[in-house]
Amino acid sequence: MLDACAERWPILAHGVSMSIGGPDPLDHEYLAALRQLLDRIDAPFYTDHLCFATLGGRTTFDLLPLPFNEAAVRHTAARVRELADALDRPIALENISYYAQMPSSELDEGAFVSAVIEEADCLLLLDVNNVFVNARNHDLDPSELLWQLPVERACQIHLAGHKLEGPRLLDNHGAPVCDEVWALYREVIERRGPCPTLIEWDTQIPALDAVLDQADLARAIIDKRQLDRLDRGQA
Amino acid sequence: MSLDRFYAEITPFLFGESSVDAIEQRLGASASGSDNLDFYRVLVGRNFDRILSELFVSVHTLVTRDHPGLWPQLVSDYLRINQTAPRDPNLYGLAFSDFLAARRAERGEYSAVLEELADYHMCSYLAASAPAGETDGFEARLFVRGYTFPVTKIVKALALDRATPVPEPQPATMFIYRSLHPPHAVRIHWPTAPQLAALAGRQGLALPASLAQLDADALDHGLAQLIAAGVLCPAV
Repeated sequence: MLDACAERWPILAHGVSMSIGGPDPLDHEYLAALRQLLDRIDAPFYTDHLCFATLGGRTTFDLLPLPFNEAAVRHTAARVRELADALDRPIALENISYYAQMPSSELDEGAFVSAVIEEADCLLLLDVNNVFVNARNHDLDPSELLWQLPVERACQIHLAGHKLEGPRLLDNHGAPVCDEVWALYREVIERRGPCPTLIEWDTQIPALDAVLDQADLARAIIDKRQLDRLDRGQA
Repeated sequence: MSLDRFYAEITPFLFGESSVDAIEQRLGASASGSDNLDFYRVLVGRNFDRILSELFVSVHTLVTRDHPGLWPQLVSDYLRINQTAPRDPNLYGLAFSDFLAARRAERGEYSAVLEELADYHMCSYLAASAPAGETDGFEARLFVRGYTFPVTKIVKALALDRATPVPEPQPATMFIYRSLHPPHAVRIHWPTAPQLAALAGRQGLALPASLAQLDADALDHGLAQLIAAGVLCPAV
Protein backbone atom coordinates (compact mmCIF):
# COMPACT_ATOMS: atom_id res chain seq x y z
CA MET A 1 0.00 0.00 0.00
CA LEU A 2 2.88 2.34 0.83
CA ASP A 3 4.37 1.80 -2.60
CA ALA A 4 1.01 2.45 -4.25
CA CYS A 5 0.65 5.71 -2.30
CA ALA A 6 4.19 6.77 -3.21
CA GLU A 7 3.39 6.30 -6.89
CA ARG A 8 0.39 8.57 -6.60
CA TRP A 9 1.45 11.26 -4.10
CA PRO A 10 4.68 12.77 -2.80
CA ILE A 11 5.38 11.36 0.69
CA LEU A 12 7.41 12.90 3.49
CA ALA A 13 8.55 11.18 6.68
CA HIS A 14 8.37 12.98 10.03
CA GLY A 15 10.22 11.61 13.05
CA VAL A 16 9.80 12.12 16.78
CA SER A 17 12.62 10.01 18.20
CA MET A 18 15.89 11.24 16.69
CA SER A 19 16.78 13.25 19.81
CA ILE A 20 18.90 15.36 17.51
CA GLY A 21 20.22 17.61 20.25
CA GLY A 22 20.61 14.86 22.81
CA PRO A 23 23.74 13.30 24.28
CA ASP A 24 23.39 9.73 22.97
CA PRO A 25 25.15 8.82 19.71
CA LEU A 26 22.95 8.61 16.62
CA ASP A 27 21.95 5.02 15.94
CA HIS A 28 23.46 4.32 12.53
CA GLU A 29 21.84 0.91 12.21
CA TYR A 30 18.48 2.63 12.55
CA LEU A 31 19.55 5.37 10.16
CA ALA A 32 20.50 2.82 7.52
CA ALA A 33 17.02 1.29 7.72
CA LEU A 34 15.45 4.73 7.70
CA ARG A 35 17.41 5.71 4.60
CA GLN A 36 16.12 2.60 2.82
CA LEU A 37 12.57 3.65 3.63
CA LEU A 38 13.16 7.24 2.50
CA ASP A 39 14.70 6.02 -0.74
CA ARG A 40 11.75 3.71 -1.28
CA ILE A 41 9.21 6.53 -0.95
CA ASP A 42 11.54 9.00 -2.68
CA ALA A 43 11.28 11.50 0.17
CA PRO A 44 12.99 14.76 -0.85
CA PHE A 45 13.99 15.55 2.74
CA TYR A 46 13.59 14.23 6.30
CA THR A 47 12.09 16.06 9.25
CA ASP A 48 12.34 15.77 13.02
CA HIS A 49 12.23 18.11 16.00
CA LEU A 50 14.81 20.52 17.37
CA CYS A 51 14.90 18.94 20.80
CA PHE A 52 16.27 16.13 22.91
CA ALA A 53 14.31 13.06 23.98
CA THR A 54 16.74 10.33 25.03
CA LEU A 55 19.42 10.54 27.70
CA GLY A 56 21.92 7.85 28.60
CA GLY A 57 19.85 5.10 27.01
CA ARG A 58 16.60 6.21 28.64
CA THR A 59 13.84 7.80 26.62
CA THR A 60 11.38 10.36 27.92
CA PHE A 61 8.92 9.88 25.05
CA ASP A 62 8.74 13.66 24.86
CA LEU A 63 10.20 16.54 22.87
CA LEU A 64 12.29 18.50 25.36
CA PRO A 65 13.78 21.93 24.73
CA LEU A 66 17.53 22.22 24.52
CA PRO A 67 19.26 24.85 26.58
CA PHE A 68 19.33 27.88 24.30
CA ASN A 69 23.10 28.39 24.26
CA GLU A 70 26.11 28.23 21.94
CA ALA A 71 27.25 24.81 23.13
CA ALA A 72 23.88 23.31 22.21
CA VAL A 73 23.99 25.09 18.84
CA ARG A 74 27.37 23.57 17.95
CA HIS A 75 26.49 20.10 19.24
CA THR A 76 23.13 19.98 17.47
CA ALA A 77 24.33 21.44 14.18
CA ALA A 78 27.12 18.85 13.96
CA ARG A 79 24.61 16.06 14.53
CA VAL A 80 22.22 17.45 11.90
CA ARG A 81 25.07 17.33 9.38
CA GLU A 82 25.84 13.75 10.46
CA LEU A 83 22.17 12.87 10.02
CA ALA A 84 21.98 14.48 6.57
CA ASP A 85 25.05 12.49 5.47
CA ALA A 86 23.61 9.25 6.81
CA LEU A 87 20.23 9.77 5.14
CA ASP A 88 21.72 11.33 2.01
CA ARG A 89 19.16 14.09 1.87
CA PRO A 90 18.44 17.48 3.46
CA ILE A 91 17.11 17.67 7.01
CA ALA A 92 14.37 20.02 8.23
CA LEU A 93 14.11 20.76 11.94
CA GLU A 94 10.80 21.67 13.55
CA ASN A 95 10.54 24.44 16.12
CA ILE A 96 8.95 22.76 19.14
CA SER A 97 6.58 24.07 21.77
CA TYR A 98 8.37 24.55 25.08
CA TYR A 99 6.98 25.23 28.51
CA ALA A 100 10.16 26.37 30.25
CA GLN A 101 13.56 27.56 29.18
CA MET A 102 16.14 25.08 30.36
CA PRO A 103 18.70 26.31 32.89
CA SER A 104 21.91 27.67 31.30
CA SER A 105 20.02 29.21 28.37
CA GLU A 106 21.68 32.37 27.07
CA LEU A 107 19.76 33.05 23.84
CA ASP A 108 16.11 33.57 23.08
CA GLU A 109 14.22 30.95 21.09
CA GLY A 110 14.39 32.77 17.76
CA ALA A 111 18.14 33.34 17.98
CA PHE A 112 18.73 29.74 19.04
CA VAL A 113 16.66 28.17 16.26
CA SER A 114 18.20 30.48 13.68
CA ALA A 115 21.73 29.70 14.84
CA VAL A 116 21.20 25.93 14.66
CA ILE A 117 19.56 26.09 11.24
CA GLU A 118 22.29 28.34 9.88
CA GLU A 119 25.22 26.41 11.34
CA ALA A 120 23.76 23.08 10.25
CA ASP A 121 22.79 24.58 6.88
CA CYS A 122 19.48 22.77 7.07
CA LEU A 123 15.80 23.56 6.52
CA LEU A 124 13.06 24.66 8.89
CA LEU A 125 9.81 22.82 9.43
CA LEU A 126 7.78 25.76 10.67
CA ASP A 127 5.12 24.80 13.22
CA VAL A 128 2.90 27.86 13.44
CA ASN A 129 0.86 26.52 16.34
CA ASN A 130 4.06 26.04 18.33
CA VAL A 131 4.95 29.67 17.66
CA PHE A 132 1.59 30.76 19.06
CA VAL A 133 1.74 28.41 22.07
CA ASN A 134 5.25 29.58 22.94
CA ALA A 135 4.35 33.24 22.56
CA ARG A 136 1.32 32.86 24.80
CA ASN A 137 3.16 30.80 27.43
CA HIS A 138 6.15 33.14 27.58
CA ASP A 139 4.35 36.48 27.25
CA LEU A 140 5.75 37.27 23.80
CA ASP A 141 4.18 38.79 20.73
CA PRO A 142 3.33 35.89 18.36
CA SER A 143 4.13 37.80 15.18
CA GLU A 144 7.45 39.05 16.53
CA LEU A 145 8.39 35.55 17.63
CA LEU A 146 7.38 34.16 14.24
CA TRP A 147 9.67 36.49 12.31
CA GLN A 148 12.58 35.85 14.65
CA LEU A 149 12.60 32.33 13.22
CA PRO A 150 14.36 31.65 9.89
CA VAL A 151 11.06 31.51 7.99
CA GLU A 152 12.87 31.90 4.67
CA ARG A 153 14.28 28.39 5.25
CA ALA A 154 10.84 26.81 5.77
CA CYS A 155 10.14 23.86 3.48
CA GLN A 156 6.95 22.75 5.21
CA ILE A 157 4.43 24.16 7.67
CA HIS A 158 2.54 22.42 10.47
CA LEU A 159 -0.76 23.66 11.84
CA ALA A 160 -2.53 22.18 14.86
CA GLY A 161 -4.81 22.81 17.80
CA HIS A 162 -3.88 23.12 21.45
CA LYS A 163 -5.57 23.08 24.83
CA LEU A 164 -5.45 25.16 27.97
CA GLU A 165 -4.20 23.26 31.02
CA GLY A 166 -3.77 25.29 34.17
CA PRO A 167 -1.69 28.36 33.43
CA ARG A 168 -0.34 27.18 30.08
CA LEU A 169 -1.32 26.19 26.57
CA LEU A 170 -0.40 22.63 25.66
CA ASP A 171 0.34 21.64 22.09
CA ASN A 172 -1.84 18.52 21.98
CA HIS A 173 -2.96 18.23 18.34
CA GLY A 174 -6.48 17.63 19.61
CA ALA A 175 -8.54 20.61 18.44
CA PRO A 176 -9.20 22.79 15.39
CA VAL A 177 -6.60 25.40 14.50
CA CYS A 178 -7.52 28.58 16.40
CA ASP A 179 -8.14 31.97 14.79
CA GLU A 180 -4.88 33.46 16.04
CA VAL A 181 -2.89 30.63 14.46
CA TRP A 182 -4.78 31.04 11.18
CA ALA A 183 -3.84 34.73 11.28
CA LEU A 184 -0.17 33.86 11.76
CA TYR A 185 -0.37 31.31 8.96
CA ARG A 186 -1.89 33.93 6.66
CA GLU A 187 0.99 36.25 7.56
CA VAL A 188 3.54 33.57 6.65
CA ILE A 189 1.90 32.71 3.33
CA GLU A 190 1.45 36.36 2.33
CA ARG A 191 5.07 37.23 3.03
CA ARG A 192 6.83 33.99 2.24
CA GLY A 193 4.63 32.48 -0.46
CA PRO A 194 2.92 29.07 -0.72
CA CYS A 195 4.41 26.25 1.31
CA PRO A 196 3.32 22.60 1.74
CA THR A 197 1.14 22.53 4.84
CA LEU A 198 0.06 19.72 7.16
CA ILE A 199 -2.82 19.74 9.63
CA GLU A 200 -1.73 17.73 12.69
CA TRP A 201 -4.69 16.18 14.50
CA ASP A 202 -3.75 12.99 16.34
CA THR A 203 -5.58 13.12 19.67
CA GLN A 204 -9.35 13.39 20.16
CA ILE A 205 -9.55 12.60 16.47
CA PRO A 206 -12.76 13.90 14.84
CA ALA A 207 -14.58 12.76 11.71
CA LEU A 208 -12.38 13.01 8.64
CA ASP A 209 -14.54 15.83 7.28
CA ALA A 210 -13.49 18.07 10.16
CA VAL A 211 -9.81 17.59 9.33
CA LEU A 212 -10.42 18.06 5.61
CA ASP A 213 -12.26 21.31 6.38
CA GLN A 214 -9.10 22.56 8.10
CA ALA A 215 -7.01 21.56 5.12
CA ASP A 216 -9.46 23.44 2.87
CA LEU A 217 -9.01 26.58 5.00
CA ALA A 218 -5.23 26.35 4.56
CA ARG A 219 -5.67 25.81 0.83
CA ALA A 220 -7.98 28.82 0.59
CA ILE A 221 -5.37 31.05 2.23
CA ILE A 222 -2.76 29.96 -0.28
CA ASP A 223 -5.19 30.36 -3.19
CA LYS A 224 -6.20 33.85 -2.05
CA ARG A 225 -2.58 34.92 -1.86
CA GLN A 226 -1.98 33.67 -5.39
CA LEU A 227 -5.11 35.40 -6.74
CA ASP A 228 -4.18 38.67 -5.03
CA ARG A 229 -0.77 38.56 -6.67
CA LEU A 230 -2.32 37.86 -10.06
CA ASP A 231 -4.67 40.82 -9.54
CA ARG A 232 -1.64 42.99 -8.82
CA GLY A 233 0.10 41.65 -11.91
CA GLN A 234 2.75 39.78 -9.94
CA ALA A 235 3.85 36.28 -10.92
CA MET B 1 28.43 25.02 31.72
CA SER B 2 29.17 22.11 29.39
CA LEU B 3 26.36 20.33 27.62
CA ASP B 4 27.57 17.03 29.12
CA ARG B 5 27.08 18.40 32.61
CA PHE B 6 23.65 19.74 31.70
CA TYR B 7 22.53 16.32 30.53
CA ALA B 8 24.06 14.51 33.50
CA GLU B 9 22.24 16.80 35.91
CA ILE B 10 18.89 17.05 34.12
CA THR B 11 18.42 13.28 33.66
CA PRO B 12 17.47 12.30 37.24
CA PHE B 13 15.15 15.30 37.44
CA LEU B 14 13.26 14.38 34.28
CA PHE B 15 12.77 10.81 35.50
CA GLY B 16 11.43 11.96 38.85
CA GLU B 17 14.53 11.05 40.85
CA SER B 18 15.38 14.57 42.00
CA SER B 19 13.40 17.73 42.67
CA VAL B 20 13.19 20.96 40.70
CA ASP B 21 14.82 22.76 43.64
CA ALA B 22 17.79 20.40 43.50
CA ILE B 23 18.22 20.79 39.77
CA GLU B 24 18.01 24.57 39.92
CA GLN B 25 20.63 24.60 42.67
CA ARG B 26 22.99 22.62 40.46
CA LEU B 27 22.20 24.09 37.03
CA GLY B 28 20.86 27.53 37.88
CA ALA B 29 17.30 28.80 37.66
CA SER B 30 15.08 28.55 34.62
CA ALA B 31 14.15 31.98 33.25
CA SER B 32 10.60 30.61 32.99
CA GLY B 33 10.29 29.90 36.72
CA SER B 34 10.46 26.74 38.82
CA ASP B 35 6.85 25.71 38.26
CA ASN B 36 7.23 25.72 34.49
CA LEU B 37 10.52 23.81 34.67
CA ASP B 38 8.95 21.29 37.04
CA PHE B 39 6.19 20.74 34.49
CA TYR B 40 8.68 18.74 32.41
CA ARG B 41 9.04 16.21 35.23
CA VAL B 42 5.24 15.98 35.28
CA LEU B 43 5.03 15.57 31.48
CA VAL B 44 7.61 12.78 31.35
CA GLY B 45 5.92 10.94 34.22
CA ARG B 46 2.60 11.31 32.42
CA ASN B 47 4.04 9.72 29.29
CA PHE B 48 5.04 6.54 31.13
CA ASP B 49 1.72 6.37 32.96
CA ARG B 50 -0.15 6.73 29.68
CA ILE B 51 1.88 4.06 27.87
CA LEU B 52 1.33 1.51 30.64
CA SER B 53 -2.32 2.33 31.32
CA GLU B 54 -3.30 2.21 27.64
CA LEU B 55 -1.26 -0.88 26.73
CA PHE B 56 -2.23 -2.84 29.87
CA VAL B 57 -5.74 -1.48 30.05
CA SER B 58 -7.29 -4.33 32.07
CA VAL B 59 -4.39 -4.29 34.56
CA HIS B 60 -4.92 -0.56 34.99
CA THR B 61 -8.66 -1.12 35.53
CA LEU B 62 -8.16 -3.78 38.19
CA VAL B 63 -5.39 -1.95 40.03
CA THR B 64 -7.18 1.39 40.17
CA ARG B 65 -10.41 -0.38 41.17
CA ASP B 66 -9.11 -2.80 43.76
CA HIS B 67 -5.87 -1.22 45.02
CA PRO B 68 -6.31 2.55 45.44
CA GLY B 69 -3.02 4.42 45.20
CA LEU B 70 -1.04 1.46 43.89
CA TRP B 71 -1.00 2.34 40.17
CA PRO B 72 1.24 5.45 40.45
CA GLN B 73 3.59 3.37 42.62
CA LEU B 74 3.79 0.65 39.99
CA VAL B 75 4.47 3.20 37.25
CA SER B 76 7.25 4.97 39.16
CA ASP B 77 8.86 1.75 40.46
CA TYR B 78 8.82 0.20 36.99
CA LEU B 79 10.33 3.38 35.54
CA ARG B 80 13.13 3.25 38.09
CA ILE B 81 14.19 -0.31 37.27
CA ASN B 82 13.32 -0.43 33.58
CA GLN B 83 15.68 2.07 31.96
CA THR B 84 15.29 1.50 28.23
CA ALA B 85 14.94 3.59 25.10
CA PRO B 86 12.71 1.76 22.62
CA ARG B 87 11.52 3.81 19.64
CA ASP B 88 8.14 2.08 19.90
CA PRO B 89 6.57 3.29 23.17
CA ASN B 90 4.67 0.03 23.62
CA LEU B 91 7.95 -1.88 23.86
CA TYR B 92 8.57 0.00 27.09
CA GLY B 93 6.05 -2.48 28.53
CA LEU B 94 8.03 -5.61 27.59
CA ALA B 95 9.18 -6.33 31.15
CA PHE B 96 6.01 -5.19 32.93
CA SER B 97 4.57 -8.67 33.46
CA ASP B 98 7.82 -9.94 34.97
CA PHE B 99 7.99 -6.81 37.11
CA LEU B 100 4.48 -7.43 38.46
CA ALA B 101 5.29 -11.09 39.14
CA ALA B 102 8.51 -10.28 40.99
CA ARG B 103 6.76 -7.63 43.07
CA ARG B 104 3.92 -10.01 43.94
CA ALA B 105 6.40 -12.69 44.96
CA GLU B 106 8.12 -10.19 47.23
CA ARG B 107 5.12 -8.35 48.69
CA GLY B 108 2.02 -10.44 47.90
CA GLU B 109 -0.11 -7.33 47.57
CA TYR B 110 -2.21 -8.47 44.59
CA SER B 111 -3.30 -11.49 42.57
CA ALA B 112 -1.30 -13.27 39.85
CA VAL B 113 -4.09 -12.28 37.48
CA LEU B 114 -2.36 -8.94 36.99
CA GLU B 115 0.86 -10.38 35.59
CA GLU B 116 -1.07 -12.81 33.41
CA LEU B 117 -3.19 -10.02 31.97
CA ALA B 118 -0.07 -7.92 31.37
CA ASP B 119 1.57 -10.79 29.54
CA TYR B 120 -1.56 -11.37 27.46
CA HIS B 121 -1.76 -7.70 26.43
CA MET B 122 1.95 -7.64 25.54
CA CYS B 123 1.74 -10.84 23.49
CA SER B 124 -1.30 -9.50 21.65
CA TYR B 125 0.52 -6.31 20.76
CA LEU B 126 3.70 -8.09 19.69
CA ALA B 127 1.75 -10.53 17.55
CA ALA B 128 -0.19 -7.67 15.93
CA SER B 129 2.99 -5.78 15.10
CA ALA B 130 5.08 -8.79 14.03
CA PRO B 131 6.48 -8.53 10.51
CA ALA B 132 4.50 -10.34 7.86
CA GLY B 133 6.19 -13.50 6.65
CA GLU B 134 5.76 -17.18 6.12
CA THR B 135 7.54 -18.41 9.25
CA ASP B 136 6.28 -19.89 12.50
CA GLY B 137 7.66 -16.89 14.40
CA PHE B 138 7.64 -18.32 17.91
CA GLU B 139 7.68 -15.55 20.52
CA ALA B 140 7.24 -12.97 17.76
CA ARG B 141 4.08 -13.82 15.79
CA LEU B 142 3.01 -16.85 17.80
CA PHE B 143 2.95 -17.09 21.59
CA VAL B 144 2.16 -20.27 23.52
CA ARG B 145 0.99 -19.52 27.01
CA GLY B 146 -0.41 -21.39 29.99
CA TYR B 147 -2.47 -18.99 32.12
CA THR B 148 -4.21 -19.86 35.35
CA PHE B 149 -6.91 -17.22 34.81
CA PRO B 150 -9.26 -16.88 31.79
CA VAL B 151 -7.56 -13.71 30.58
CA THR B 152 -9.54 -13.21 27.38
CA LYS B 153 -12.86 -13.36 29.25
CA ILE B 154 -11.57 -10.95 31.90
CA VAL B 155 -10.37 -8.41 29.34
CA LYS B 156 -13.68 -8.46 27.48
CA ALA B 157 -15.77 -8.29 30.66
CA LEU B 158 -13.79 -5.39 32.13
CA ALA B 159 -14.11 -3.45 28.88
CA LEU B 160 -17.89 -3.69 29.20
CA ASP B 161 -18.14 -3.24 32.97
CA ARG B 162 -15.17 -2.29 35.13
CA ALA B 163 -17.00 -3.66 38.20
CA THR B 164 -16.85 -7.24 36.88
CA PRO B 165 -15.37 -9.49 39.59
CA VAL B 166 -12.26 -11.50 38.78
CA PRO B 167 -13.38 -15.11 38.20
CA GLU B 168 -11.84 -18.16 39.84
CA PRO B 169 -8.73 -19.63 38.16
CA GLN B 170 -9.40 -21.80 35.11
CA PRO B 171 -5.96 -22.98 33.95
CA ALA B 172 -5.66 -23.37 30.19
CA THR B 173 -3.07 -23.39 27.45
CA MET B 174 -3.64 -20.97 24.60
CA PHE B 175 -2.00 -19.67 21.47
CA ILE B 176 -1.95 -15.93 20.83
CA TYR B 177 -1.01 -15.45 17.20
CA ARG B 178 -1.30 -13.32 14.13
CA SER B 179 -2.93 -15.52 11.54
CA LEU B 180 -0.91 -16.41 8.48
CA HIS B 181 -4.12 -16.10 6.46
CA PRO B 182 -5.59 -12.78 5.27
CA PRO B 183 -6.52 -10.42 6.86
CA HIS B 184 -3.74 -11.55 9.23
CA ALA B 185 -5.69 -10.66 12.37
CA VAL B 186 -4.56 -11.54 15.89
CA ARG B 187 -6.43 -14.62 17.06
CA ILE B 188 -6.65 -16.85 20.11
CA HIS B 189 -6.64 -20.63 19.86
CA TRP B 190 -7.10 -23.21 22.61
CA PRO B 191 -5.19 -26.25 21.33
CA THR B 192 -6.15 -29.89 21.60
CA ALA B 193 -3.58 -32.40 22.87
CA PRO B 194 -2.59 -33.53 19.34
CA GLN B 195 -2.21 -29.90 18.27
CA LEU B 196 0.04 -29.17 21.25
CA ALA B 197 2.12 -32.22 20.44
CA ALA B 198 2.37 -31.18 16.79
CA LEU B 199 3.47 -27.71 17.79
CA ALA B 200 6.07 -29.11 20.20
CA GLY B 201 7.33 -31.30 17.38
CA ARG B 202 7.63 -28.26 15.12
CA GLN B 203 9.75 -26.61 17.79
CA GLY B 204 11.88 -29.73 18.20
CA LEU B 205 10.87 -30.16 21.83
CA ALA B 206 10.66 -33.50 23.60
CA LEU B 207 7.06 -34.47 24.32
CA PRO B 208 5.93 -34.98 27.92
CA ALA B 209 4.67 -38.44 28.77
CA SER B 210 1.02 -37.40 28.48
CA LEU B 211 1.51 -36.43 24.83
CA ALA B 212 4.13 -38.99 23.82
CA GLN B 213 1.50 -41.70 23.57
CA LEU B 214 -0.33 -40.01 20.70
CA ASP B 215 0.00 -41.85 17.42
CA ALA B 216 1.45 -40.41 14.22
CA ASP B 217 -1.96 -39.99 12.56
CA ALA B 218 -3.20 -37.87 15.45
CA LEU B 219 -0.09 -35.71 15.28
CA ASP B 220 -0.45 -35.28 11.51
CA HIS B 221 -4.08 -34.34 11.93
CA GLY B 222 -3.20 -31.84 14.69
CA LEU B 223 -0.53 -30.28 12.50
CA ALA B 224 -2.93 -30.00 9.56
CA GLN B 225 -5.49 -28.27 11.77
CA LEU B 226 -2.92 -25.71 12.98
CA ILE B 227 -1.87 -24.99 9.40
CA ALA B 228 -5.50 -24.62 8.35
CA ALA B 229 -6.09 -22.17 11.21
CA GLY B 230 -3.12 -20.02 10.16
CA VAL B 231 -1.18 -20.84 13.35
CA LEU B 232 1.71 -22.63 11.66
CA CYS B 233 3.04 -22.27 8.15
CA PRO B 234 2.74 -25.28 5.81
CA ALA B 235 6.42 -26.16 5.74
CA VAL B 236 9.63 -25.05 7.41
